[in-house]
Amino acid sequence: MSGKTSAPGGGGGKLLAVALLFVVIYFAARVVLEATMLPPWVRVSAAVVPVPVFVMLVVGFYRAIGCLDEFQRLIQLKALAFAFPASWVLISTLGLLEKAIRLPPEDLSYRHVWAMMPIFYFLGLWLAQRRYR
Amino acid sequence: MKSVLLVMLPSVLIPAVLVFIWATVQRRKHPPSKEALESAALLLDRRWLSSGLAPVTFTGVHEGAYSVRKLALLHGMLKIALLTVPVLAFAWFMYTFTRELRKGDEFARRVQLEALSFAFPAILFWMMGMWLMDEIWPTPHHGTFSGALVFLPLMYCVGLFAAKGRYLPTHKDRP
Repeated sequence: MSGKTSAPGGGGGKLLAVALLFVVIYFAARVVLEATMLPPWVRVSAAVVPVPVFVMLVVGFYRAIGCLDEFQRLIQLKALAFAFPASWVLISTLGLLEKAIRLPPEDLSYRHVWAMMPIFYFLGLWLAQRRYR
Repeated sequence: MKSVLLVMLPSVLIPAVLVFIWATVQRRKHPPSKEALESAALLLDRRWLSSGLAPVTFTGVHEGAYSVRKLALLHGMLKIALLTVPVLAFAWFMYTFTRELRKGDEFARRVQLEALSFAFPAILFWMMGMWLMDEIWPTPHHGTFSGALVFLPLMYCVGLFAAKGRYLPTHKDRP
């Protein structure tokens, strides 16, 4: 995710490259999906294109975790241990809110929560690094 | 309720049953030695990293509470009270998760990290997929946050199960 790994053989740089590639492909897919006059098969294909890159990113992240030293692993654990429950609380709250009132999808949808999750991760990473500085 | 019975339960139960059948076949093919069972004792102990069980409980409680809430004959106050039940299950998860994080040894932390490093991107990926699905076929069912609440805890549970399984000795480890 962050690409800040100590994976041997330049694994961190490769992971960062895959992450950047994913972001580029994802936003390209979004641009294609904005064009509503396109036939459905083109729209579906555009939606599926980022999937293999994301799988590569997850596998790379998983492998990079295995190559980290003990201290870096602790930092990553603390970051994810913050981000995961924080995402859970956010989704729970929104789940309750959508029962109480109508949430406008253009203001609050998966699109917005999806963007919040990496923020939680980086916030957790910053908090963990600050703690051990 | 119908969607839970037709879609949610099979999507959770069928993979679990398939893994169980596969594991049973493998165990019969390669019966574990006494040494292998002894070295796997910690990983097979259900009390070790019990935070993996809390998400399943949360999902069951959440789905149960929300299904009961749909019954028309329930009193309004009872419906509100039912909303707080999943919060208690979440509190239990946080308690076990934090306790393990604080008191766990290096191995426990490694397993937890692997579980989280699977669960977090998996949820991110699932949400991204749902968002793209909403763009292609806009329906109100794709975008509910209550729906995400079922998958989020289960991903951690799957991640923990996979991470524990990764360290189990297999017949390939035999000398």
